[in-house]
Amino acid sequence: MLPEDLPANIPYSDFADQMVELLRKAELGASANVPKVKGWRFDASEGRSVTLSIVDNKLGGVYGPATARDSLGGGLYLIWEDEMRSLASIDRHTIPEFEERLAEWRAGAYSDERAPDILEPQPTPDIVMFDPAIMDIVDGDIAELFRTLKQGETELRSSEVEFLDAGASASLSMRYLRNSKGIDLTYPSTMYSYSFYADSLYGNGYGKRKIPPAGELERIIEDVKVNTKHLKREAEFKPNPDGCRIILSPGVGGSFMGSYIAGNLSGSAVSNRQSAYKLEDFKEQKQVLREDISLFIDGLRPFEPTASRATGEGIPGGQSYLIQNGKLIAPSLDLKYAGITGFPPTPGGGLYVLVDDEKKAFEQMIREMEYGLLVYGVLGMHTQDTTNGRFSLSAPRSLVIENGKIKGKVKATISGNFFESILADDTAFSWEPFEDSPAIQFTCSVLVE
Amino acid sequence: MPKKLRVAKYDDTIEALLSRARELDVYAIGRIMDSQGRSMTINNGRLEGISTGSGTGMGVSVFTREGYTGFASSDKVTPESARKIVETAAKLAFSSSVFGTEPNLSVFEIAPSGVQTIATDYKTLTETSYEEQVQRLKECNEQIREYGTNLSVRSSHWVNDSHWRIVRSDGTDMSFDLPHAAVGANITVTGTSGNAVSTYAAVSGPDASVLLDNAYSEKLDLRARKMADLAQKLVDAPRIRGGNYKLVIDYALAKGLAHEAFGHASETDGMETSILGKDGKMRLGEQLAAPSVTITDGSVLGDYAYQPISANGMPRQTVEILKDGILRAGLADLFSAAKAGVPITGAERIESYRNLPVPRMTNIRISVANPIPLDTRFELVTPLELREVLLSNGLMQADEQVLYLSGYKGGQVNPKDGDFVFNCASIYALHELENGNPKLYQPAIFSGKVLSALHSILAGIGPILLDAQGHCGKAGQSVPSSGGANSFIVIDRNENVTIGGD
Repeated sequence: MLPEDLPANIPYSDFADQMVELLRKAELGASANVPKVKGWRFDASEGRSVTLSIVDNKLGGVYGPATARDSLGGGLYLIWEDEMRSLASIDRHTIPEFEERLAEWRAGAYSDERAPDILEPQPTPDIVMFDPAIMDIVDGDIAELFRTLKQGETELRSSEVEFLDAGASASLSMRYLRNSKGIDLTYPSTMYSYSFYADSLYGNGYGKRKIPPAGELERIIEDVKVNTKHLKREAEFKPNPDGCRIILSPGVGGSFMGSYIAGNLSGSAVSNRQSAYKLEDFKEQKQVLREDISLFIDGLRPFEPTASRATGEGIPGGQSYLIQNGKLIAPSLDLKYAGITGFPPTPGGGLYVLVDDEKKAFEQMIREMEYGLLVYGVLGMHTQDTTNGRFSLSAPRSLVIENGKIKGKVKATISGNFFESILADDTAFSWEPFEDSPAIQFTCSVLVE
Repeated sequence: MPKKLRVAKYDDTIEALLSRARELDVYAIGRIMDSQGRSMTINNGRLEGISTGSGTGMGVSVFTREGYTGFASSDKVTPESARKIVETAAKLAFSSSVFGTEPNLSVFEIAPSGVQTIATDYKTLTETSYEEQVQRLKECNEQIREYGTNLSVRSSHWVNDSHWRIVRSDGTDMSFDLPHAAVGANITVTGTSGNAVSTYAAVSGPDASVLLDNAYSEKLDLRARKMADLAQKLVDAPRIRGGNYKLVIDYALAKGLAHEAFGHASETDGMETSILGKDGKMRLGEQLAAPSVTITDGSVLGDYAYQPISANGMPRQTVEILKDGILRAGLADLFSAAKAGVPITGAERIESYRNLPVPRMTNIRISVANPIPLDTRFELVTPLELREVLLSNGLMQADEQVLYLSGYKGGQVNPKDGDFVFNCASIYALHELENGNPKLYQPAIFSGKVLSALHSILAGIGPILLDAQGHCGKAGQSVPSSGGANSFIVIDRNENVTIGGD
């Protein structure tokens, strides 16, 4: 049910109610041309968003105009009375074309003896994901987006930034999660974001489910100013042929952890031998990371983009370890692969890296580095074979650090094996207060152009 | 017989959209998309799932007489919704003028494209049997699993049939379809040491024939066999020493080079910062590559990235961007062509009705003049045979270090400074024979400077092949892309082209 204290202009429609009514009729066999539906679930979002951009210094120009988008979309899962299954996308046209769609879903039905049943309702966490202050912007009062981008543009262009790309957006969506066993979840969420990217060298931004606190915009602009300046100064770096120390910035570190570690935790990949980790490794709780490192699902953080009341299948949001103290605990599992592997399904939420007793600040790590590179961006991460840990990446925005001081930029190519790096005793972590992922320092091969 | 397009039924919506624009005294470009798709996956012989999808919606770009612009979209395709999104876009355009945004009047300077329907006759989804697709995909999956011991194979197949209608306030009304389909296999092998390696083989085309017709399935089989063999050998392959080498790349990698390293830089929306621009104008007439090199972009009927009409309702032209090494033209859209100093070529594409059009490639290819003939079918050319072709044509000395990079795994580019990277599936050292064959190394990133790489092209080997398939991400939108080159391209050693490694 829709909470009663929400503003009247929430874009709530009767789509979900109508879908439920039509699916209940399908359960009763209202359509003569297809078998009865035995079970169903759908997960749909209906929303509005507004966006404004600066593209190559042009605010609100033809490639980044003020835009408004309305949409409704989601997914549907059906179990027919003969145990066949259907998976389909749904949209606003599903209701007026329901009979036709039902016939299409049946035509595409398939047999899968391992497919899951419909989930019984379970309590879901009540996490704050809605900021009413965003409503007016979404309704078309986009002056705030203009002001944000204009402030960034004025301040950055008055420093050494020649070309600026930036964007700001606000959105509101209603989520409708329903199933034939009684899951009935309806709630709104909001999102507010902006980002600035200077001279194709460095970018930073804000993105949460609430309006940013005072001073956040100024902090982001200052960060972009300082780091762009560093990246514009050329430097020299003499790589040690036996390996060089590098620091992956929090963004790049998060990308490595996501691709090489989290990317190999998919239940389907583990179960089908398409991952670096085997199912037996989880059963034996194999040590794959250092004892001080854990990977943790957390869906309970208020206003975070990763907050979750439930997955699309109805698994409640929550907290759970996938890797704890370096040992494999469980793959990331939907209902089907939970059934196949025997591990519990994974709660909805974002994946976070935890490092015991490591509270070193990012700036301190830089100050303590004798000679090495700070990597602010890599090209080609999506081309890597993450099942074996090997990486070979271009790092054209790398800053030389010498005796704790930033000297300037070099273009580097870095290569090594992340599985080995993450196990090494001298691999270190540090934290930037506004980032979820840690910066990571380790040794690898470096080539400089 | 050409298809009947589903977007033909929206005359009332189109009329409502255009008449509301007239009432508000704004110029409108309306885009209606009606898309249908189907995908399926077989994992180690088991059907993982079949998914069906459809999406219908409408987007409208609105321009005030002063050239200020706003955009709105909705998934309701009705006359009422059309009027509403025109009003919303107009309101945004008028508010933008207050905030000092940059106007663009190009839309008032173009001639109408008329009223046209360009429909293909490729199979619709209703003409395509699920059972036949599933059965064939299972057979493919099982066949590939037999190409080695302990192979894990995930096969996937998808077909999409999008119908589009683009209208403008000047009377333009263009309808067309964009069918595309592919079938691919991810092959994973785990060695005795526990190391895993994954490779990928695929073919693409316009419809389910990519899976069901012999010509395509034979090609997929040859590619999958090669990739299964490669995955098994890569498990214990060493890493290459990083540095600068003379290179031979296959046509899929050459497509990557053309696309990532050059195509994006030739898109006119970025000309103020592109390496192919100077003071916002294209550097037309400059020699930017070896004189033997020509780079062409254009839509090909039946290709995965087929696009006959632009997202602003203009015919897509085939463009020789680089002719004999000289920059001749750009991939130019309605809004940035004039400023870049080149004619409009209808290069605008969009992922969905929700997106804004930006110039980008369809099928881009590199051709090298006077290529060395090659009789062997591409999929059957061995590294050893390639070495012999190089030696016999004076492109390699017996003791010269030459690497053969095979299989494209994607890439990335920064058109503003000309840095590109792309990755291969394997590297063979043609100068290092092991058991009579060139030695195999792990894949490594191939990075460099665009113009240095193009200036260093020494030769093309074999016929031009155009079906290297991929997806292009730009402005947050992914669209199908494809292209190719001569079967193999030889690039001289260059200090600005680096192979990453130990």
